[in-house]
Amino acid sequence: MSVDLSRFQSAFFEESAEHVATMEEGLLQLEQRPGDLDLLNRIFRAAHSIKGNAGMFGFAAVGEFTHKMENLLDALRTGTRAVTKPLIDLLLEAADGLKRLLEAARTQAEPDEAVIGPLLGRLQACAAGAGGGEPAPAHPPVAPPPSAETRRRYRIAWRPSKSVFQRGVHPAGMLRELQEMGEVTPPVAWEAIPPLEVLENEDSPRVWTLTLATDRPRHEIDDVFLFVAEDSELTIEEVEDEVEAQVKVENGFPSTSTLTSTSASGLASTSASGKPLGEILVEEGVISPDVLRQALAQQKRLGEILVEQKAATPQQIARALDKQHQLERAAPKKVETASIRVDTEKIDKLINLVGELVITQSMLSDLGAHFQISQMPVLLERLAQLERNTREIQERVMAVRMLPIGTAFNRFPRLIRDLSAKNGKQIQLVMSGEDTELDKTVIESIGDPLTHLVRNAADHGLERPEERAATGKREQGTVTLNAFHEGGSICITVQDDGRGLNRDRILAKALQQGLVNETDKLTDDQIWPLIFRPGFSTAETVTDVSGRGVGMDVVKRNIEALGGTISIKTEAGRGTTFTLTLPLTLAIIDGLTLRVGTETYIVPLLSVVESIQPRAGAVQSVAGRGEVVNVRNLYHPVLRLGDIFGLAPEITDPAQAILVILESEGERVAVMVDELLGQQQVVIKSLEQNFRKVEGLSGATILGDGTVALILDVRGLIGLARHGEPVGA
Amino acid sequence: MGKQVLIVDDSVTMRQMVSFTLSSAGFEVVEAGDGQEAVGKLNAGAKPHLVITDLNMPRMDGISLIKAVRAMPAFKFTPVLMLTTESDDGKKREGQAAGATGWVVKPFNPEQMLKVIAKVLPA
Repeated sequence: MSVDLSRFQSAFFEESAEHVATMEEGLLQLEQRPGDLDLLNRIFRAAHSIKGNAGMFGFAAVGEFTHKMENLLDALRTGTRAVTKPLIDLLLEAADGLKRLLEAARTQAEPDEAVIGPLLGRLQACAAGAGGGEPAPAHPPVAPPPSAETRRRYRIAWRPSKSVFQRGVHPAGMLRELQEMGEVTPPVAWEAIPPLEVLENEDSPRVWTLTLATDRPRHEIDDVFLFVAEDSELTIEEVEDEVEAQVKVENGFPSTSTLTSTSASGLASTSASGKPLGEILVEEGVISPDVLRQALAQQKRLGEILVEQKAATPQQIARALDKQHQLERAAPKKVETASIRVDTEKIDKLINLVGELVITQSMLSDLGAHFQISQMPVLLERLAQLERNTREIQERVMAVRMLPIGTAFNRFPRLIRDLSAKNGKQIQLVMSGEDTELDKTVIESIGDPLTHLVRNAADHGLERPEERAATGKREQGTVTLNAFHEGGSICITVQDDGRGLNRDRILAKALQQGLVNETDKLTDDQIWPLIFRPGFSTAETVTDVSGRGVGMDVVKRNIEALGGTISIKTEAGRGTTFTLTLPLTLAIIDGLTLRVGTETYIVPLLSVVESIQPRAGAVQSVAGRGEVVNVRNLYHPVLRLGDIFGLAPEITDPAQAILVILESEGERVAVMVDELLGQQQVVIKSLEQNFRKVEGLSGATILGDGTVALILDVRGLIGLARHGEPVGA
Repeated sequence: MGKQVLIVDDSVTMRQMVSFTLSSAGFEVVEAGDGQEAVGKLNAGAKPHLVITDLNMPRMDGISLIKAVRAMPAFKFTPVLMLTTESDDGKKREGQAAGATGWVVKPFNPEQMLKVIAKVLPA
């Protein structure tokens, strides 16, 4: 029977990814607590597990690499080597290398020798002298070649010591194995062998002497006694032939493959992600860092600019681009797992609830079979029960897809460490609310936007230590990440205690880019969101990771694609806080139901500021700008939903209608409707999938009475209001 | 055969693989993630005919588990196999001294594991 273990490969990769994360986390903590043996053991075990499992699937490269890491970690935990920063740096680099190797194994690609080779060499060099010879890398046991098939006779004398019995080894087992190999004389008296309890307490040790005639190779006979050889007296002699020396064979030690340790050649990989083109060109000596800085500041494609300036030839650029692609391809891609770990408790609760649902359903069906109008109260009661069951199940099922946000946060300690070193700043990272749960898809999608915000805080928000000291701040800057539930959403804040956004510079840049006019009177709250416009950046120096102005608009778009919002609070000299608000799940939103004429619309509750019934004359027409309404001394544009969607509203006099004030990106609009119908949870159905994309709408849903209600896209509406065009019905 | 085996390993992947191998051969499998969990299961009524345990585990490691199992009268003579790596010579000896019956070297192929099990489990 052959057992195929390849189906467990994806489990291996998932588990190994977790182990690598454990190692990274542990190494970062180890820097603060170098003497923590528990921590060292945890890191060691993670590497050990990966190694043990890798061998099961034949992933030799992963196994060899982890073996080297294990050696170094072992040296650390036995105290043979001390925990130092360079050592931690090396191990962190090694963890990156391991990620690459795992990815290569997963995609059946070739590992990048240029990166792995040097790392192996450095790991080995570091652990060298840490005692003991190099044990062989993992190989399945190799048996020596079988000897020729001739029948031989062996005299076997076996005297087991008590400990053999105490370890649960029953002599009958050994004897049976021998019997299966050939002829045993004298024949074994099975009944005469007492159980282990008795054998253990016998005073005089037993000896089994027998002759075995077999054509099996010698090592197989030795193998029979494999587990008892150490605590028994054992002789196996071939008789009527020369006496063979007893060869103790456990596992063969095949020759180690030689590992080429190529010189680092100055291209030591720092982070595993793709290297910026400019860095490669500077490293290769094609251009100088100054030229790079100048070129980047112009924000055209670097390669084009350099060729224009004759600072590099097209061929050099092409070569460097090739190299960038190579590195990118080799870099570990974000792993989108198609499976999810769920607490069995969550599943158990769900199973219970489904059980209750079944009961309710059968009670209803019972009632329906012989329904009489006098039973109406009972019917209503059971329907209420049904509603409770359904709602609970809905909540529990959503909870199944939820994971703690800590998994998205755990990349940041490493990132902050690297960024502090790179920028010469001292940065402290504080995280809280890691247990806050949100939908798995949302977690996977906010990783990049959050990373961008954290990078911004570290690169541009926080000042260098000297600057901070000069203004009386602590030299060490703090980036704070927090996550918490509020209402039906989750809020994530990224806060820094740095220099805050610069109002004047943003305004100047916005004017320069034509985003605002000189005459516009803008409140602070309207100025900050300008940084989310595409191409906008006021960074004085463009670093290779941020400041190019392509980040913030993508961040905002990503957040809004998830149905969330992003807002800014900032204070000059004190710091900046970005707040992301995300729905707990993508498929369901809390909505406000509105009526215009005979049509029902839904607007996301998150976007609703308030709803009012304006006083007579509060809504006025402004030449060239349509209608506006004054709400607490702020003028909001008014949109008549009827006009936009080509409907005939019931009420045309604003004083009789309802105005719902909606907000998106710091801009507000008042939407005029006939009636507010209520608030409810709404399951979003995609328009694109079922019809086509429509401006001003973000989806549709089916109401309780079976009719279709369209869900308004607030951002789109505001855009429409500006252009003043109606949408086709 | 219908015998029960207790597999103790902190690696989910390893537990899944051993479980699959054993159940394909007709064994009933009980799993535990570390030594402490294993002892808990034994105290709660599990009656394995064989215990297979990894050595490197958090909370209670393999060697401690072997000692604990041997100290329980019901399992004094139950065969216990260690999952070791080839360089673990010292550990093999330590395990034997603690009372382990034998060992299976990682990585193993399923047939090898089943052979070793047949060796230590009286039919």
